[in-house]
Amino acid sequence: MDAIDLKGLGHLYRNGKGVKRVDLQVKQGEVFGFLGPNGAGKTTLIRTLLGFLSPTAGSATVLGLDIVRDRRQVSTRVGYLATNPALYDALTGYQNLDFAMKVRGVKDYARLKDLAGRLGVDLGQRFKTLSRGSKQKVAILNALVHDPDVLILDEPTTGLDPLVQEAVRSLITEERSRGRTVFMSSHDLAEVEAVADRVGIIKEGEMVTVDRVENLRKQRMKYVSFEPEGDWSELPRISGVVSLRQDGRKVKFTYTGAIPALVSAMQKWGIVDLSITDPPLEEVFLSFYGQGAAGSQNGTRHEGGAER
Amino acid sequence: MTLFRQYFRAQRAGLLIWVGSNGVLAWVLASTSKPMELGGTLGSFMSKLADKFPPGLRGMFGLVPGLSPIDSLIQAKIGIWLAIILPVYACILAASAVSREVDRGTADFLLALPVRRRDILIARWAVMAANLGLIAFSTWGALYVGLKMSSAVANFTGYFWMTAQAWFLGLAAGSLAMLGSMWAREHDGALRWALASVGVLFTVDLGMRVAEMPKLARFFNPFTYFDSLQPLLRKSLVWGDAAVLLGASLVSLWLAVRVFESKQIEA
Repeated sequence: MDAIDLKGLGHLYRNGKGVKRVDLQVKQGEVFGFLGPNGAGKTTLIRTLLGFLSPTAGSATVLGLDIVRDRRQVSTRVGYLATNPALYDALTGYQNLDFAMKVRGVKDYARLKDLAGRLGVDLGQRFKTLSRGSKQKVAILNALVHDPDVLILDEPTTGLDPLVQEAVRSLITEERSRGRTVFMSSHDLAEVEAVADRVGIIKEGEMVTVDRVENLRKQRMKYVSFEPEGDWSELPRISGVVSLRQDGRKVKFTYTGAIPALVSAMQKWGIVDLSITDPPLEEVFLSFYGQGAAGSQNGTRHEGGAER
Repeated sequence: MTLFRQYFRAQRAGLLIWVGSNGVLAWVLASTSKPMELGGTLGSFMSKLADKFPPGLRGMFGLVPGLSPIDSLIQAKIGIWLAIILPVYACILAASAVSREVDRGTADFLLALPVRRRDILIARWAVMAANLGLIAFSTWGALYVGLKMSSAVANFTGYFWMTAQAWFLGLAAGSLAMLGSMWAREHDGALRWALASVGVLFTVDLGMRVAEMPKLARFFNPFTYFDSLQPLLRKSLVWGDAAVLLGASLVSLWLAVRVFESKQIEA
Protein backbone atom coordinates (compact mmCIF):
# COMPACT_ATOMS: atom_id res chain seq x y z
CA MET A 1 0.00 0.00 0.00
CA ASP A 2 1.28 3.45 -0.93
CA ALA A 3 1.52 6.02 1.83
CA ILE A 4 0.02 8.66 -0.46
CA ASP A 5 -1.95 7.87 -3.59
CA LEU A 6 -3.30 10.71 -5.69
CA LYS A 7 -5.64 9.77 -8.53
CA GLY A 8 -6.23 12.78 -10.72
CA LEU A 9 -6.52 14.96 -7.64
CA GLY A 10 -7.23 18.60 -8.34
CA HIS A 11 -8.61 21.75 -6.82
CA LEU A 12 -9.39 24.65 -9.09
CA TYR A 13 -10.28 28.07 -7.73
CA ARG A 14 -12.97 30.20 -9.28
CA ASN A 15 -10.36 32.02 -11.36
CA GLY A 16 -9.37 28.72 -12.97
CA LYS A 17 -6.02 28.55 -11.18
CA GLY A 18 -5.00 25.86 -8.72
CA VAL A 19 -4.14 22.23 -9.24
CA LYS A 20 -5.57 20.57 -12.35
CA ARG A 21 -5.10 16.82 -12.06
CA VAL A 22 -2.24 15.13 -10.26
CA ASP A 23 -1.51 11.41 -10.37
CA LEU A 24 1.13 10.41 -7.90
CA GLN A 25 2.10 7.58 -5.60
CA VAL A 26 4.45 8.00 -2.68
CA LYS A 27 5.75 4.83 -1.07
CA GLN A 28 5.96 4.26 2.65
CA GLY A 29 9.30 5.30 4.07
CA GLU A 30 10.00 7.59 1.14
CA VAL A 31 10.88 11.29 1.18
CA PHE A 32 9.11 12.93 -1.74
CA GLY A 33 9.85 16.53 -2.57
CA PHE A 34 7.99 18.62 -5.04
CA LEU A 35 9.31 21.78 -6.51
CA GLY A 36 7.76 24.76 -8.11
CA PRO A 37 7.80 28.52 -7.91
CA ASN A 38 5.20 30.53 -6.03
CA GLY A 39 1.76 30.06 -7.56
CA ALA A 40 2.58 26.72 -9.17
CA GLY A 41 0.06 24.88 -6.99
CA LYS A 42 2.23 23.35 -4.27
CA THR A 43 0.30 24.72 -1.31
CA THR A 44 -3.05 24.08 -3.00
CA LEU A 45 -2.12 20.43 -3.49
CA ILE A 46 -1.11 20.08 0.17
CA ARG A 47 -4.25 21.85 1.41
CA THR A 48 -6.42 19.60 -0.71
CA LEU A 49 -4.62 16.55 0.64
CA LEU A 50 -5.23 17.75 4.20
CA GLY A 51 -8.93 18.47 3.63
CA PHE A 52 -8.70 22.28 3.95
CA LEU A 53 -9.89 22.47 0.34
CA SER A 54 -12.34 20.07 -1.30
CA PRO A 55 -11.13 18.25 -4.40
CA THR A 56 -12.75 19.53 -7.57
CA ALA A 57 -11.38 16.50 -9.43
CA GLY A 58 -10.16 13.02 -8.63
CA SER A 59 -9.53 11.43 -5.27
CA ALA A 60 -6.69 10.58 -2.94
CA THR A 61 -5.82 8.27 -0.09
CA VAL A 62 -3.30 8.57 2.71
CA LEU A 63 -2.28 5.21 4.18
CA GLY A 64 -5.31 3.73 2.41
CA LEU A 65 -7.71 6.23 4.00
CA ASP A 66 -9.81 8.48 1.80
CA ILE A 67 -8.87 12.13 2.36
CA VAL A 68 -12.50 13.28 2.27
CA ARG A 69 -14.45 10.44 3.86
CA ASP A 70 -11.84 9.51 6.49
CA ARG A 71 -10.42 12.99 7.16
CA ARG A 72 -10.30 12.57 10.93
CA GLN A 73 -8.47 9.24 10.77
CA VAL A 74 -6.06 10.71 8.23
CA SER A 75 -5.37 13.61 10.62
CA THR A 76 -4.45 11.25 13.44
CA ARG A 77 -1.70 9.71 11.31
CA VAL A 78 -0.40 12.82 9.60
CA GLY A 79 1.86 15.57 10.91
CA TYR A 80 1.60 18.89 9.11
CA LEU A 81 3.96 21.84 9.04
CA ALA A 82 2.81 25.00 7.27
CA THR A 83 5.05 27.54 5.53
CA ASN A 84 4.22 30.23 8.08
CA PRO A 85 3.06 28.25 11.06
CA ALA A 86 0.62 30.05 13.32
CA LEU A 87 -0.41 28.82 16.73
CA TYR A 88 -2.34 30.71 19.37
CA ASP A 89 -0.45 33.87 20.33
CA ALA A 90 -2.03 34.16 23.77
CA LEU A 91 -0.94 30.65 24.76
CA THR A 92 2.54 29.41 25.51
CA GLY A 93 4.23 26.91 23.24
CA TYR A 94 3.50 24.21 25.79
CA GLN A 95 -0.18 25.15 26.11
CA ASN A 96 -0.55 25.04 22.33
CA LEU A 97 1.11 21.65 22.09
CA ASP A 98 -0.72 20.30 25.12
CA PHE A 99 -4.01 21.24 23.48
CA ALA A 100 -3.04 19.52 20.22
CA MET A 101 -1.88 16.42 22.08
CA LYS A 102 -5.08 16.21 24.09
CA VAL A 103 -7.17 16.49 20.92
CA ARG A 104 -5.05 13.75 19.38
CA GLY A 105 -5.35 11.61 22.48
CA VAL A 106 -1.58 11.52 23.04
CA LYS A 107 -0.76 10.73 26.64
CA ASP A 108 2.96 10.14 26.44
CA TYR A 109 4.77 13.47 26.87
CA ALA A 110 8.26 11.89 26.81
CA ARG A 111 8.59 12.42 23.05
CA LEU A 112 7.64 16.07 23.45
CA LYS A 113 10.31 16.57 26.11
CA ASP A 114 12.89 14.75 24.02
CA LEU A 115 12.19 16.69 20.82
CA ALA A 116 11.95 20.03 22.62
CA GLY A 117 15.31 19.38 24.25
CA ARG A 118 16.92 18.49 20.96
CA LEU A 119 15.54 21.55 19.18
CA GLY A 120 16.41 23.74 22.14
CA VAL A 121 13.07 25.50 22.28
CA ASP A 122 11.61 27.22 25.34
CA LEU A 123 8.00 26.07 25.57
CA GLY A 124 7.21 28.29 28.55
CA GLN A 125 7.07 31.51 26.51
CA ARG A 126 3.95 32.88 24.90
CA PHE A 127 3.87 32.01 21.22
CA LYS A 128 3.66 35.65 20.14
CA THR A 129 6.88 36.53 21.95
CA LEU A 130 8.91 33.86 20.15
CA SER A 131 11.26 34.58 17.25
CA ARG A 132 10.42 33.30 13.76
CA GLY A 133 12.81 30.39 14.17
CA SER A 134 11.46 29.45 17.59
CA LYS A 135 7.89 29.59 16.31
CA GLN A 136 8.89 27.23 13.52
CA LYS A 137 10.47 24.90 16.08
CA VAL A 138 7.25 24.79 18.11
CA ALA A 139 5.36 24.07 14.89
CA ILE A 140 7.82 21.27 14.06
CA LEU A 141 7.13 19.79 17.50
CA ASN A 142 3.42 20.01 16.75
CA ALA A 143 3.95 18.10 13.51
CA LEU A 144 6.08 15.39 15.11
CA VAL A 145 4.93 14.98 18.67
CA HIS A 146 2.22 12.39 17.95
CA ASP A 147 4.74 10.29 16.01
CA PRO A 148 2.85 10.42 12.70
CA ASP A 149 3.28 7.88 9.91
CA VAL A 150 3.22 10.58 7.26
CA LEU A 151 4.72 14.06 7.48
CA ILE A 152 3.40 16.74 5.15
CA LEU A 153 5.65 19.78 5.07
CA ASP A 154 4.88 22.92 3.11
CA GLU A 155 8.14 24.75 2.42
CA PRO A 156 9.42 23.83 5.87
CA THR A 157 12.60 25.92 5.90
CA THR A 158 11.44 29.10 4.17
CA GLY A 159 12.74 32.18 5.97
CA LEU A 160 14.67 30.25 8.60
CA ASP A 161 18.24 30.74 9.63
CA PRO A 162 20.73 28.05 8.55
CA LEU A 163 20.85 26.42 11.99
CA VAL A 164 17.11 25.84 12.11
CA GLN A 165 17.15 24.75 8.47
CA GLU A 166 19.73 22.14 9.36
CA ALA A 167 17.65 20.99 12.33
CA VAL A 168 14.63 20.54 10.06
CA ARG A 169 16.65 18.59 7.51
CA SER A 170 18.13 16.30 10.12
CA LEU A 171 14.66 15.62 11.52
CA ILE A 172 13.37 14.75 8.05
CA THR A 173 16.27 12.37 7.52
CA GLU A 174 15.70 10.83 10.94
CA GLU A 175 12.00 10.33 10.27
CA ARG A 176 12.82 8.55 7.03
CA SER A 177 15.25 6.27 8.84
CA ARG A 178 12.39 5.41 11.23
CA GLY A 179 10.31 4.33 8.23
CA ARG A 180 8.10 7.42 8.13
CA THR A 181 6.95 8.96 4.87
CA VAL A 182 7.69 12.60 4.16
CA PHE A 183 5.85 14.63 1.53
CA MET A 184 7.33 18.07 1.24
CA SER A 185 7.05 21.05 -1.02
CA SER A 186 9.84 23.49 -1.55
CA HIS A 187 11.35 25.98 -3.88
CA ASP A 188 14.73 25.39 -2.27
CA LEU A 189 16.37 23.02 -4.71
CA ALA A 190 19.36 22.27 -2.51
CA GLU A 191 17.07 21.27 0.32
CA VAL A 192 15.11 18.81 -1.80
CA GLU A 193 18.29 17.50 -3.35
CA ALA A 194 19.71 16.90 0.13
CA VAL A 195 16.83 14.98 1.63
CA ALA A 196 14.43 13.67 -1.04
CA ASP A 197 14.41 10.23 -2.65
CA ARG A 198 12.16 11.38 -5.48
CA VAL A 199 11.23 14.74 -6.83
CA GLY A 200 8.19 16.06 -8.64
CA ILE A 201 8.17 19.32 -10.51
CA ILE A 202 4.87 21.15 -10.52
CA LYS A 203 4.11 23.79 -13.11
CA GLU A 204 0.89 25.73 -13.50
CA GLY A 205 -1.06 23.18 -11.49
CA GLU A 206 0.29 20.10 -13.19
CA MET A 207 3.03 17.70 -12.15
CA VAL A 208 5.28 17.85 -15.19
CA THR A 209 7.81 15.30 -14.06
CA VAL A 210 8.32 12.81 -11.26
CA ASP A 211 11.56 10.95 -10.88
CA ARG A 212 14.36 9.97 -8.56
CA VAL A 213 16.71 12.85 -7.87
CA GLU A 214 19.65 11.11 -9.52
CA ASN A 215 17.60 10.06 -12.56
CA LEU A 216 16.25 13.52 -13.00
CA ARG A 217 19.76 14.84 -13.16
CA LYS A 218 20.80 12.15 -15.60
CA GLN A 219 17.84 12.28 -17.98
CA ARG A 220 20.07 12.62 -21.00
CA MET A 221 20.63 16.07 -19.62
CA LYS A 222 24.14 17.35 -19.06
CA TYR A 223 25.50 20.50 -17.59
CA VAL A 224 28.14 21.94 -19.91
CA SER A 225 30.78 24.53 -19.11
CA PHE A 226 32.69 25.50 -22.26
CA GLU A 227 35.41 28.03 -22.96
CA PRO A 228 35.58 28.61 -26.73
CA GLU A 229 38.60 29.81 -28.63
CA GLY A 230 36.70 31.54 -31.44
CA ASP A 231 33.22 32.71 -32.38
CA TRP A 232 30.53 30.54 -30.79
CA SER A 233 27.46 32.48 -31.98
CA GLU A 234 25.96 29.38 -33.58
CA LEU A 235 25.80 27.53 -30.25
CA PRO A 236 22.29 28.68 -29.24
CA ARG A 237 20.96 27.28 -32.52
CA ILE A 238 22.05 23.73 -31.66
CA SER A 239 19.04 21.62 -30.77
CA GLY A 240 18.93 20.63 -27.08
CA VAL A 241 20.85 23.64 -25.74
CA VAL A 242 18.89 25.43 -23.03
CA SER A 243 19.50 27.85 -20.14
CA LEU A 244 22.50 29.28 -21.90
CA ARG A 245 24.45 32.06 -20.19
CA GLN A 246 27.89 33.58 -20.36
CA ASP A 247 30.09 33.64 -17.28
CA GLY A 248 33.28 35.56 -18.09
CA ARG A 249 35.06 33.70 -20.88
CA LYS A 250 33.00 30.59 -20.24
CA VAL A 251 29.65 29.66 -21.70
CA LYS A 252 27.43 27.52 -19.46
CA PHE A 253 24.30 25.66 -20.52
CA THR A 254 22.23 22.54 -20.11
CA TYR A 255 22.21 20.11 -22.98
CA THR A 256 19.80 17.32 -23.87
CA GLY A 257 21.01 15.19 -26.78
CA ALA A 258 23.92 13.22 -28.14
CA ILE A 259 27.22 14.31 -26.59
CA PRO A 260 29.45 13.40 -29.63
CA ALA A 261 27.39 15.68 -31.88
CA LEU A 262 27.79 18.55 -29.44
CA VAL A 263 31.52 18.03 -29.02
CA SER A 264 32.14 17.87 -32.77
CA ALA A 265 30.26 21.17 -33.19
CA MET A 266 32.36 22.74 -30.44
CA GLN A 267 35.58 21.59 -32.05
CA LYS A 268 34.79 23.94 -34.96
CA TRP A 269 34.99 26.92 -32.58
CA GLY A 270 38.04 25.61 -30.78
CA ILE A 271 37.97 24.30 -27.22
CA VAL A 272 40.08 25.97 -24.53
CA ASP A 273 38.28 24.28 -21.65
CA LEU A 274 35.31 21.93 -21.50
CA SER A 275 33.54 20.11 -18.69
CA ILE A 276 30.41 18.01 -19.09
CA THR A 277 28.78 16.88 -15.83
CA ASP A 278 25.45 15.79 -14.40
CA PRO A 279 23.47 18.95 -13.87
CA PRO A 280 22.63 20.29 -10.42
CA LEU A 281 18.92 20.03 -9.67
CA GLU A 282 18.64 23.77 -10.23
CA GLU A 283 19.46 23.29 -13.89
CA VAL A 284 16.90 20.49 -14.20
CA PHE A 285 14.33 22.73 -12.60
CA LEU A 286 15.18 25.61 -14.92
CA SER A 287 14.82 23.35 -17.91
CA PHE A 288 11.16 22.92 -16.98
CA TYR A 289 10.56 26.55 -16.27
CA GLY A 290 12.95 28.24 -18.62
CA GLN A 291 12.86 28.29 -22.41
CA GLY A 292 10.08 25.70 -22.79
CA ALA A 293 12.27 22.65 -22.52
CA ALA A 294 11.10 19.10 -23.12
CA GLY A 295 8.86 17.71 -20.46
CA SER A 296 6.94 20.89 -19.84
CA GLN A 297 5.11 20.54 -23.13
CA ASN A 298 4.45 16.83 -23.38
CA GLY A 299 2.59 15.80 -20.26
CA THR A 300 3.95 14.16 -17.15
CA ARG A 301 7.15 12.15 -17.34
CA HIS A 302 7.51 9.47 -14.71
CA GLU A 303 10.48 7.41 -13.60
CA GLY A 304 13.27 7.88 -16.08
CA GLY A 305 11.48 10.00 -18.60
CA ALA A 306 8.64 7.68 -19.69
CA GLU A 307 5.86 9.75 -21.18
CA ARG A 308 2.32 9.41 -19.86
CA MET B 1 -14.41 19.88 26.02
CA THR B 2 -10.75 20.29 25.06
CA LEU B 3 -11.74 22.59 22.20
CA PHE B 4 -13.93 24.63 24.56
CA ARG B 5 -11.18 24.95 27.18
CA GLN B 6 -8.55 25.94 24.64
CA TYR B 7 -10.69 28.66 23.03
CA PHE B 8 -11.88 29.94 26.39
CA ARG B 9 -8.27 30.19 27.49
CA ALA B 10 -7.31 32.00 24.29
CA GLN B 11 -10.09 34.56 24.91
CA ARG B 12 -9.62 35.05 28.63
CA ALA B 13 -7.58 38.29 28.50
CA GLY B 14 -10.31 40.06 26.53
CA LEU B 15 -12.98 38.54 28.73
CA LEU B 16 -11.35 39.88 31.89
CA ILE B 17 -11.33 43.40 30.47
CA TRP B 18 -15.01 43.20 29.55
CA VAL B 19 -16.03 41.65 32.87
CA GLY B 20 -13.94 44.17 34.82
CA SER B 21 -15.14 47.28 32.99
CA ASN B 22 -18.82 46.28 33.11
CA GLY B 23 -18.54 45.26 36.74
CA VAL B 24 -16.94 48.55 37.77
CA LEU B 25 -19.54 50.54 35.85
CA ALA B 26 -22.42 48.63 37.45
CA TRP B 27 -20.88 48.87 40.93
CA VAL B 28 -20.33 52.65 40.66
CA LEU B 29 -23.90 53.16 39.46
CA ALA B 30 -25.34 50.92 42.17
CA SER B 31 -23.33 52.37 45.02
CA THR B 32 -24.23 55.97 44.09
CA SER B 33 -27.93 55.41 43.43
CA LYS B 34 -28.99 55.33 47.09
CA PRO B 35 -27.39 58.68 48.05
CA MET B 36 -28.88 60.18 44.88
CA GLU B 37 -32.31 58.82 45.79
CA LEU B 38 -32.09 60.16 49.35
CA GLY B 39 -31.20 63.60 48.07
CA GLY B 40 -34.20 63.52 45.76
CA THR B 41 -31.92 64.05 42.76
CA LEU B 42 -32.69 60.70 41.21
CA GLY B 43 -36.50 60.95 41.30
CA SER B 44 -36.48 64.46 39.91
CA PHE B 45 -33.92 63.50 37.22
CA MET B 46 -35.96 60.47 36.11
CA SER B 47 -39.25 62.37 35.97
CA LYS B 48 -37.67 65.21 33.96
CA LEU B 49 -36.25 62.59 31.60
CA ALA B 50 -39.67 60.96 31.24
CA ASP B 51 -41.20 64.25 30.13
CA LYS B 52 -38.65 64.56 27.32
CA PHE B 53 -39.03 60.99 26.02
CA PRO B 54 -41.56 59.88 23.39
CA PRO B 55 -44.18 57.55 24.92
CA GLY B 56 -42.89 54.61 22.88
CA LEU B 57 -39.48 54.85 24.50
CA ARG B 58 -40.51 55.54 28.09
CA GLY B 59 -40.99 51.86 28.92
CA MET B 60 -37.70 50.95 27.33
CA PHE B 61 -35.85 53.47 29.47
CA GLY B 62 -37.61 52.71 32.74
CA LEU B 63 -39.61 55.89 32.73
CA VAL B 64 -42.93 54.41 33.74
CA PRO B 65 -45.09 54.94 36.81
CA GLY B 66 -44.82 52.32 39.51
CA LEU B 67 -41.08 51.78 39.31
CA SER B 68 -38.90 53.06 42.12
CA PRO B 69 -36.27 55.63 41.06
CA ILE B 70 -33.51 53.06 41.64
CA ASP B 71 -35.27 50.46 39.50
CA SER B 72 -35.80 53.08 36.81
CA LEU B 73 -32.14 54.03 36.90
CA ILE B 74 -30.90 50.45 36.75
CA GLN B 75 -33.28 49.60 33.93
CA ALA B 76 -32.49 52.74 31.98
CA LYS B 77 -28.73 52.53 32.40
CA ILE B 78 -27.77 48.87 32.90
CA GLY B 79 -30.64 47.33 30.90
CA ILE B 80 -29.98 49.39 27.79
CA TRP B 81 -26.22 49.21 28.31
CA LEU B 82 -26.34 45.41 28.34
CA ALA B 83 -28.63 45.38 25.29
CA ILE B 84 -25.91 47.22 23.36
CA ILE B 85 -22.73 45.91 24.88
CA LEU B 86 -23.55 42.18 24.90
CA PRO B 87 -24.43 42.07 21.16
CA VAL B 88 -21.28 44.11 20.41
CA TYR B 89 -19.08 41.73 22.42
CA ALA B 90 -20.83 38.72 20.87
CA CYS B 91 -20.20 40.09 17.38
CA ILE B 92 -16.51 40.63 18.11
CA LEU B 93 -16.18 37.06 19.33
CA ALA B 94 -18.39 35.53 16.65
CA ALA B 95 -16.78 37.35 13.75
CA SER B 96 -13.39 36.14 14.90
CA ALA B 97 -14.47 32.54 15.49
CA VAL B 98 -13.49 31.45 12.00
CA SER B 99 -12.43 34.43 9.87
CA ARG B 100 -9.68 35.62 12.22
CA GLU B 101 -8.37 32.06 12.53
CA VAL B 102 -8.17 31.85 8.74
CA ASP B 103 -6.51 35.29 8.53
CA ARG B 104 -3.92 34.45 11.17
CA GLY B 105 -3.30 30.91 9.96
CA THR B 106 -4.39 29.23 13.20
CA ALA B 107 -7.18 27.57 11.20
CA ASP B 108 -4.49 25.36 9.65
CA PHE B 109 -3.31 24.31 13.11
CA LEU B 110 -6.87 23.45 14.14
CA LEU B 111 -8.04 21.77 10.95
CA ALA B 112 -4.96 19.55 10.81
CA LEU B 113 -6.10 18.01 14.09
CA PRO B 114 -8.50 15.07 14.17
CA VAL B 115 -11.55 17.16 14.97
CA ARG B 116 -14.76 17.73 13.07
CA ARG B 117 -15.37 21.24 11.81
CA ARG B 118 -18.77 21.02 13.49
CA ASP B 119 -17.13 20.48 16.87
CA ILE B 120 -14.83 23.48 16.36
CA LEU B 121 -17.73 25.80 15.62
CA ILE B 122 -19.94 24.48 18.41
CA ALA B 123 -17.07 24.92 20.88
CA ARG B 124 -16.65 28.52 19.76
CA TRP B 125 -20.37 29.16 20.07
CA ALA B 126 -20.35 27.64 23.55
CA VAL B 127 -17.42 29.86 24.59
CA MET B 128 -19.33 32.87 23.28
CA ALA B 129 -22.39 31.84 25.29
CA ALA B 130 -20.31 31.29 28.43
CA ASN B 131 -18.43 34.57 28.09
CA LEU B 132 -21.64 36.51 27.51
CA GLY B 133 -23.03 34.88 30.63
CA LEU B 134 -19.93 35.81 32.63
CA ILE B 135 -20.11 39.44 31.53
CA ALA B 136 -23.88 39.67 32.09
CA PHE B 137 -23.98 38.01 35.47
CA SER B 138 -20.82 39.64 36.80
CA THR B 139 -22.57 42.92 36.00
CA TRP B 140 -25.56 41.73 37.98
CA GLY B 141 -23.22 40.65 40.78
CA ALA B 142 -21.61 44.09 40.89
CA LEU B 143 -25.08 45.69 41.03
CA TYR B 144 -26.02 43.39 43.88
CA VAL B 145 -22.87 44.18 45.87
CA GLY B 146 -23.09 47.93 45.21
CA LEU B 147 -26.75 48.19 46.20
CA LYS B 148 -26.31 45.96 49.26
CA MET B 149 -23.35 48.03 50.40
CA SER B 150 -25.43 51.18 50.26
CA SER B 151 -28.40 49.35 51.87
CA ALA B 152 -30.70 50.28 49.00
CA VAL B 153 -34.05 48.55 48.59
CA ALA B 154 -33.89 47.11 45.10
CA ASN B 155 -35.53 44.55 42.82
CA PHE B 156 -32.62 42.07 42.63
CA THR B 157 -34.74 39.29 41.11
CA GLY B 158 -35.99 41.66 38.43
CA TYR B 159 -32.44 42.78 37.64
CA PHE B 160 -31.35 39.16 37.38
CA TRP B 161 -34.02 38.33 34.80
CA MET B 162 -33.36 41.56 32.92
CA THR B 163 -29.72 40.50 32.68
CA ALA B 164 -30.75 37.03 31.55
CA GLN B 165 -32.96 38.53 28.85
CA ALA B 166 -29.98 40.59 27.63
CA TRP B 167 -27.89 37.40 27.56
CA PHE B 168 -30.40 35.81 25.17
CA LEU B 169 -30.23 38.93 22.98
CA GLY B 170 -26.42 38.84 22.93
CA LEU B 171 -26.44 35.15 22.07
CA ALA B 172 -28.83 35.69 19.16
CA ALA B 173 -26.82 38.64 17.81
CA GLY B 174 -23.57 36.66 18.11
CA SER B 175 -25.03 33.60 16.43
CA LEU B 176 -26.30 35.66 13.51
CA ALA B 177 -22.88 37.37 13.24
CA MET B 178 -21.20 33.95 13.29
CA LEU B 179 -23.41 32.81 10.44
CA GLY B 180 -22.68 35.98 8.47
CA SER B 181 -18.94 35.64 9.02
CA MET B 182 -18.96 32.30 7.19
CA TRP B 183 -19.06 34.23 3.91
CA ALA B 184 -16.46 36.80 4.94
CA ARG B 185 -13.18 36.75 3.09
CA GLU B 186 -11.27 38.42 5.92
CA HIS B 187 -11.76 39.15 9.61
CA ASP B 188 -11.85 42.96 9.54
CA GLY B 189 -14.62 42.93 6.96
CA ALA B 190 -16.61 40.39 8.98
CA LEU B 191 -16.28 42.48 12.13
CA ARG B 192 -17.22 45.74 10.41
CA TRP B 193 -20.34 44.16 8.93
CA ALA B 194 -21.36 42.60 12.24
CA LEU B 195 -20.94 45.80 14.25
CA ALA B 196 -22.64 47.91 11.60
CA SER B 197 -25.56 45.46 11.58
CA VAL B 198 -25.90 45.74 15.37
CA GLY B 199 -25.92 49.54 15.11
CA VAL B 200 -28.45 49.59 12.30
CA LEU B 201 -30.78 47.04 13.92
CA PHE B 202 -30.66 48.84 17.27
CA THR B 203 -31.44 52.18 15.62
CA VAL B 204 -34.23 50.70 13.49
CA ASP B 205 -35.77 49.12 16.58
CA LEU B 206 -35.56 52.41 18.45
CA GLY B 207 -37.20 54.23 15.57
CA MET B 208 -39.98 51.68 15.26
CA ARG B 209 -40.65 51.85 19.00
CA VAL B 210 -40.84 55.65 18.85
CA ALA B 211 -43.34 55.25 16.03
CA GLU B 212 -45.19 52.81 18.31
CA MET B 213 -45.21 50.10 15.66
CA PRO B 214 -46.58 46.75 16.85
CA LYS B 215 -44.21 43.92 17.72
CA LEU B 216 -45.38 41.92 14.72
CA ALA B 217 -44.09 44.63 12.38
CA ARG B 218 -40.69 44.44 14.09
CA PHE B 219 -40.49 40.65 14.13
CA PHE B 220 -37.29 40.45 12.01
CA ASN B 221 -35.20 42.39 14.49
CA PRO B 222 -33.57 40.64 17.48
CA PHE B 223 -33.83 43.85 19.53
CA THR B 224 -37.63 43.51 19.33
CA TYR B 225 -37.36 40.60 21.74
CA PHE B 226 -35.59 42.54 24.46
CA ASP B 227 -37.50 44.84 26.76
CA SER B 228 -35.70 45.63 30.00
CA LEU B 229 -38.92 46.75 31.69
CA GLN B 230 -40.86 43.51 31.47
CA PRO B 231 -38.48 41.30 33.51
CA LEU B 232 -38.45 43.97 36.24
CA LEU B 233 -42.23 44.12 36.44
CA ARG B 234 -42.74 40.36 36.13
CA LYS B 235 -39.68 39.36 38.17
CA SER B 236 -39.15 36.58 35.66
CA LEU B 237 -37.91 36.00 32.14
CA VAL B 238 -40.16 36.97 29.24
CA TRP B 239 -40.29 33.37 28.13
CA GLY B 240 -41.76 33.92 24.66
CA ASP B 241 -39.12 36.46 23.69
CA ALA B 242 -36.35 34.36 25.20
CA ALA B 243 -37.58 31.35 23.21
CA VAL B 244 -37.53 33.35 19.96
CA LEU B 245 -33.98 34.58 20.65
CA LEU B 246 -32.77 31.12 21.61
CA GLY B 247 -34.45 29.63 18.54
CA ALA B 248 -32.78 32.21 16.29
CA SER B 249 -29.44 31.41 17.94
CA LEU B 250 -29.75 27.66 17.42
CA VAL B 251 -30.96 27.95 13.82
CA SER B 252 -28.08 30.36 13.05
CA LEU B 253 -25.60 27.97 14.65
CA TRP B 254 -26.98 25.04 12.66
CA LEU B 255 -26.75 26.98 9.40
CA ALA B 256 -23.24 28.23 10.26
CA VAL B 257 -22.11 24.63 10.86
CA ARG B 258 -23.53 23.57 7.49
CA VAL B 259 -21.69 26.39 5.71
CA PHE B 260 -18.44 25.87 7.65
CA GLU B 261 -18.35 22.17 6.84
CA SER B 262 -18.03 22.95 3.14
CA LYS B 263 -16.02 26.16 3.47
CA GLN B 264 -12.78 26.25 1.48
CA ILE B 265 -9.94 27.29 3.74
CA GLU B 266 -7.51 29.01 1.39
CA ALA B 267 -3.98 29.99 2.33
